Amino acid sequence: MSEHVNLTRTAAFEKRLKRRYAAERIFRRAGLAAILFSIAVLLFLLVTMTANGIGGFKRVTLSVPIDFTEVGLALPQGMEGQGMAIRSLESQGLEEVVSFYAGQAMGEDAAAQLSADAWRVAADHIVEDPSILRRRVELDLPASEDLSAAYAGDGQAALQPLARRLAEQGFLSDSFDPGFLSRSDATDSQAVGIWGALKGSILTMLVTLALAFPIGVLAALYLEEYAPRNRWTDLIEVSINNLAAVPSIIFGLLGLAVFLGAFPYLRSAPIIGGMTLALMTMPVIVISGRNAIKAVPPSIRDGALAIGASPVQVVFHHVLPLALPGILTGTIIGMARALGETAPLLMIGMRAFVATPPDGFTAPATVLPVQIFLWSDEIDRGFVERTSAAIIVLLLFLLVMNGLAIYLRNRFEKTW
Amino acid sequence: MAEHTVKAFDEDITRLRGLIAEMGGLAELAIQEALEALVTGDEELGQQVVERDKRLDRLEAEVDAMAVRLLALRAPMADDLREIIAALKIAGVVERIGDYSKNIAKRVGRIEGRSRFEPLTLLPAMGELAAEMVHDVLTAYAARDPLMAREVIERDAKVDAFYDSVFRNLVSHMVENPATISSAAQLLFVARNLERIGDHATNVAEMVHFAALGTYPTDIER
Amino acid sequence: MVTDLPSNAEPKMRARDVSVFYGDKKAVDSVSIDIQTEYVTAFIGPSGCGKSTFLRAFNRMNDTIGSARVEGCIELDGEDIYKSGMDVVQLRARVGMVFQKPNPFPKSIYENVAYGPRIHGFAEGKADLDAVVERSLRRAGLWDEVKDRLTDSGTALSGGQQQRLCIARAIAVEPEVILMDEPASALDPIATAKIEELIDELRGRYAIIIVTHSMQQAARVSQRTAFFHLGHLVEYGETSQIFTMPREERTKDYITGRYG
Repeated sequence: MSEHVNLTRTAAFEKRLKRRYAAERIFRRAGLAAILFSIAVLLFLLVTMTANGIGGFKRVTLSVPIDFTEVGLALPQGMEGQGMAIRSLESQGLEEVVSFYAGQAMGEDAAAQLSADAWRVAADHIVEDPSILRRRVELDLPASEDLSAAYAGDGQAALQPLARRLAEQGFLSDSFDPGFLSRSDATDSQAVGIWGALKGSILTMLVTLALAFPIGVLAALYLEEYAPRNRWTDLIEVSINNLAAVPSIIFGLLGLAVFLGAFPYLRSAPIIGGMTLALMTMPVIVISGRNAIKAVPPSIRDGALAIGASPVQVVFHHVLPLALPGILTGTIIGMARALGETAPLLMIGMRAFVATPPDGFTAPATVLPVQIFLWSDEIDRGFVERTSAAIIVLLLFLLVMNGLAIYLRNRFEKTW
Repeated sequence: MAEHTVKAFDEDITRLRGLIAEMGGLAELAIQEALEALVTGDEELGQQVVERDKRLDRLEAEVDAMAVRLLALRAPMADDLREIIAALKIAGVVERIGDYSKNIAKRVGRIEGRSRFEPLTLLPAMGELAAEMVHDVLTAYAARDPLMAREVIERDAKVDAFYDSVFRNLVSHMVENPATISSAAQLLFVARNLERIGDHATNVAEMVHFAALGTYPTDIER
Repeated sequence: MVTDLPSNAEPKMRARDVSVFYGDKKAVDSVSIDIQTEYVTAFIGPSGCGKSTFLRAFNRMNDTIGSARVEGCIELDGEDIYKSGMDVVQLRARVGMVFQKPNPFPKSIYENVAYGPRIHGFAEGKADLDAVVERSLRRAGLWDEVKDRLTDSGTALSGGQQQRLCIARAIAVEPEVILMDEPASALDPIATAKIEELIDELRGRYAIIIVTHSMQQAARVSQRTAFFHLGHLVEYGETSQIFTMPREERTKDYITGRYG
């Protein structure tokens, strides 16, 4: 015992110890720096997007005083459909009425700068509140693209004095435009809305989820629980892993060749888009599903088998509930990627100009990322803000989707 | 026999056996010295035998304590268990053998006129038989040899026969020489003690048999 | 210690020349043994001697291992459990198993016990199920400790309680045989003693086979003991005889600690 050398007291040991502590410090700081850098980049992205996009939710309007008592427009009784009411008002000359009053209040050159859709907005107000027809009201109607550009200080130099005058007089202003969220694509940046693309994204995501989730989960269950371990299953595993890494445009080509080849009349429909994206998302779900199922301890399976549960009961009563958090995580990742995919959907034709929101899974549609892509191509300055606003909508959609999935995952989280 | 995986157990068993062997050696010596003292009238030697018996008592206490400790700490099974139980009982028996020798030694001073006593010459031979039995049975214990133990049991018959003849001899002596009755009576007790030592040696032999095989020898006439 | 009478009844389970292979490796070599309901039978032996593998052959849990193969015949009430057409799911309801590490389901205590009867259809209606759950928990000696918290998670119990819950779960499907694979090896002495007492109480109602590493436990808990070595059944007999006067040299070497 007395010959035992105290190894912790030598100088060499002290030096090594100092080095080890230094390594610890460096590692901690490097990690912290990495996190801070990532947060900084993220904040930069959010701030830039918000700053650019907030303007996209606003619209430049002209305030037009109209005295409907003088005009004698009427909404015929029994007009149920909004579309029919608007057509009726159009045939009654609402457009001219609006134009006339605008000219009276602000001058002919201002009236000419009303948006082509301005009368439709007035019609919408009337349908909403028919009592307007018996009153004198001031309606905020959208200005034309050119005037709104001039208001912002861009565009034609000739219109700028007009814009300034109207603004000073209180006719021209910038206000929050909730209609952006309920309108669809248009050629006029003042008249565009995101709802068409949003609905298209929702429908496409629903199709993707409905196809990818069950097939992916069942495939993962089969591969983990039932499939024998031989060369064929190894091959399948390798193939699925590779599929997850394939560039998304390849899936677009596949969709084009197979799905559109089979159903050519369904070009740019959410169902085709959904099927294509499902092909892309399924491998991700299978991989994360397999890992989650593998992580369920064999003691749970043994306990269930020993009680006399059949293999199916073991899987659905015991393994799947415990693997669900992991599966949902994989699904979140897959769906988030699918939401932001543009290339494959462009290939199957969801790049068209779609002016009305899709009314079903088989109607032509477009999706948020494609809409953003199309708008970013437009030259009009008004579209720049709309594009950023659309990006914000996309990010919010993603957030909601992820939030829902995380909530579901936490609900099912159980310890074993 | 293979060693225990836990070597300390083997050491404990060895120490236990050593204690028994020591007790056996002391008991054997006590028999021999007690008879020598008796025959030569050496009272000092007799006193030594009495004193040395205390050592035997101490050894028995030590064997007791060690056996209890081994039972509690080692949880012995099968032949280990039987050996320890046997050691416990054998120690008690050997201690009693020692007591008999002590008893013989105590009577040394009470014999008068030894040169004339014929029976006095018989007793050393009987004592030798008994001492041999004790020696052999403890050898059988150390060797875990049941056959040797059986053989010792059979020898008890000879000791009993010896006792019968000494008894008759002393009785007839007492009848012929009533003056020698008190001394002769002492010798009767001595012979009795030697016969009892022989019986106890067979008890030890039975325990040796049990330790080795798990059963008692049932088919030997005693 | 309870005196037991020699059994003249037909053995509950009977193994004849059973061999178990993992691929080419023979883990159990031609073992034959009778299991009676009256006795708790203990399987003892050094690590790797095949006792756990042999135990798992009695409820066909070896089937879950791909490379495992069983030869020979194991009968339950005279019927070969390895014959084709034997319903494994039903077999496992008749031959239950308790594992070394307690493995309650991550569900409530009530659900743990009720799951078996529910999937086998042994109980009709909630009242029936409640009765089964209470009876099983009482028999496992756990009722008083958990009756006020049946909805708590089964995994929130202590180790010993979890193991008794697993026993209650096994009992709930009214098995005829209970296989226990080192049920107390992960528990502290007090929990172990409770399990051993429970085994004593269950004796006679179910045929119990217990695999244990502890010879003292086998000595305390069983009436019949089988010693395994390198896949062979070396000696089988009354527990008291095995531990005081074993016939085979290998048995003696193992139980006196001279093995290896």
